Amino acid sequence: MSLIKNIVIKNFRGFKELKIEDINHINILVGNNNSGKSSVLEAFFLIMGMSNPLLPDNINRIRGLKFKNANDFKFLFHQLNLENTPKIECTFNNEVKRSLTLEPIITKNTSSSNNIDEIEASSAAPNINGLNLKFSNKIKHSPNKSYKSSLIFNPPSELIPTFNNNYQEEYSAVLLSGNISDDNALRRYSEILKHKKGNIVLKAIQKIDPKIINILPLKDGLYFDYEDINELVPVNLSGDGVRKFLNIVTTIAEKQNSFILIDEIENGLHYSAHKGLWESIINISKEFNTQLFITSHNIETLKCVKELLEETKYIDYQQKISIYKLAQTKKQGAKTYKYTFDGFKSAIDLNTEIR
Amino acid sequence: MTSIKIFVEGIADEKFIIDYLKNEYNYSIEKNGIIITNGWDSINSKEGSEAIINEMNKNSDNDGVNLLIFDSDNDFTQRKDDLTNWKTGKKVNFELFLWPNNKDNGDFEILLENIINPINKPILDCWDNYENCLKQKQIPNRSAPLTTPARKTKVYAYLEALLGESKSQKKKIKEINRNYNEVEHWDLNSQYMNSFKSFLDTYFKR
Repeated sequence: MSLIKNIVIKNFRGFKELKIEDINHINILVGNNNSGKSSVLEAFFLIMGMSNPLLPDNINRIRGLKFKNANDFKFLFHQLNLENTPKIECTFNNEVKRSLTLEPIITKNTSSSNNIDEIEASSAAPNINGLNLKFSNKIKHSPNKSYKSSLIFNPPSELIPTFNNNYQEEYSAVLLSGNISDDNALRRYSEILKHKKGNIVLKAIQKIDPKIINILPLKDGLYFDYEDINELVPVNLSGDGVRKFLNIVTTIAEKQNSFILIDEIENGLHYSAHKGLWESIINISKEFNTQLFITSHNIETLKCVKELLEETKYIDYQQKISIYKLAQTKKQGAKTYKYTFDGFKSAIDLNTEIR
Repeated sequence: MTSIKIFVEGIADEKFIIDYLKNEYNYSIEKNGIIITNGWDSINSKEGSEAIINEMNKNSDNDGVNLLIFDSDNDFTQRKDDLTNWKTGKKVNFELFLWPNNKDNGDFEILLENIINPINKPILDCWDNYENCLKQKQIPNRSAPLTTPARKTKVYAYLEALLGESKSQKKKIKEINRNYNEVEHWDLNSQYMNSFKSFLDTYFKR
């Protein structure tokens, strides 16, 4: 699988322009509340699934923005201004380039009214009723190939996607939001079992609760087998932290060669579970060749990562991690400040405000 | 309100600047306003420079001002050139002041020696005698001459002589606990402070 190396995000949500360079195997994005961390993940999600016209709606829904009318397309545009066309471009380490532009589809005003006031009012603001996703893929030494898909709003409440059958997406990406509960663990774990990799997930979950001796997918859900309980226990009975842990681990383990985006990784997790989670992330992502982009605002998370990567068995991984601080600056707009592992270690030791 | 970030070598410098800013400008610098860098050798290394460069850039990008206050050590001109070249090479911005007074060789401890309360000079005279005594002593079967204690030790000894015997008094000798506003020990209005004061006036004087 090729890795994404650079991304440029323009006119998308809170960003006029943001560049992120030298992207690594595991990437951690830190920043203040409202600096735009979730929007960065959404941009990665959109570009990795650039041909899928449902994604722009998906990312709004994840934030709790349900589509009520066509005006809601504006939530994707910088400053809610339809003239700021969102554009996301990325480069892979094999020099393949991708580009996605979200163009508003504007309805034509066909007012037949003779009333002067009405005609003037209707030409005041353009009406959006859909999005054209214009995307392209450029492989080294080959010409640029362009495609289009679209998402149209059909009143009163229907969204109609038009897919483009000429383009086949080779990568898969998953976005795990910080707040919604994910009910796909059963499906994912079943897939993992089919590939005989269930043990990897079990070992991971045992790091936070060693009393779990097995995980079983039954028709009505996932169950834990605890060594001291006579009956199987539904996973849903466990605390949010364990369920979140399981979601993350099964997401990374489900598909080879995929791209995983995790927002606010420590939400719901007690700090004692952090080490186990990060060990699992490192081991599983190595096994499944995954590229990860993770957001955090917690210094304990960062210290945990630092300590883990200082252990002898994980030293090789120091080269595979990049940390970015995202900030909205007065002079330079939205900007990322990159840390290699050494610089990151130094920043924590010096107690600078890295998070 | 312009954000000011001060980059220093160590804890001693940090405490001194915190106390001086409060005393002279009634300015309470925020928790992350002073960053300890571990000095020229550290920022000149690959591991030590990245975090500092990011901090400087973050501040500059937000219209803030960076001040770098380091020791000039054995060659003022050399250290000034080193830091100016580093600044250009790493594409960062900062204003520079080198201890003790932005023109002579030396370090932060030399500034401290020069701003003691003049009444206490006899204590430093005793120390000078101790140093001279060491220089003259020969230890049988030892070929190397005895090492003169570091200037830091001189400052420790100065405070130890002035402070009392109790545990709470002894605590105040440590760099992080020192009170530079204690007029019995230090004279922050000394002429020797003029260079440092006029450097800071640009950024802190209302």
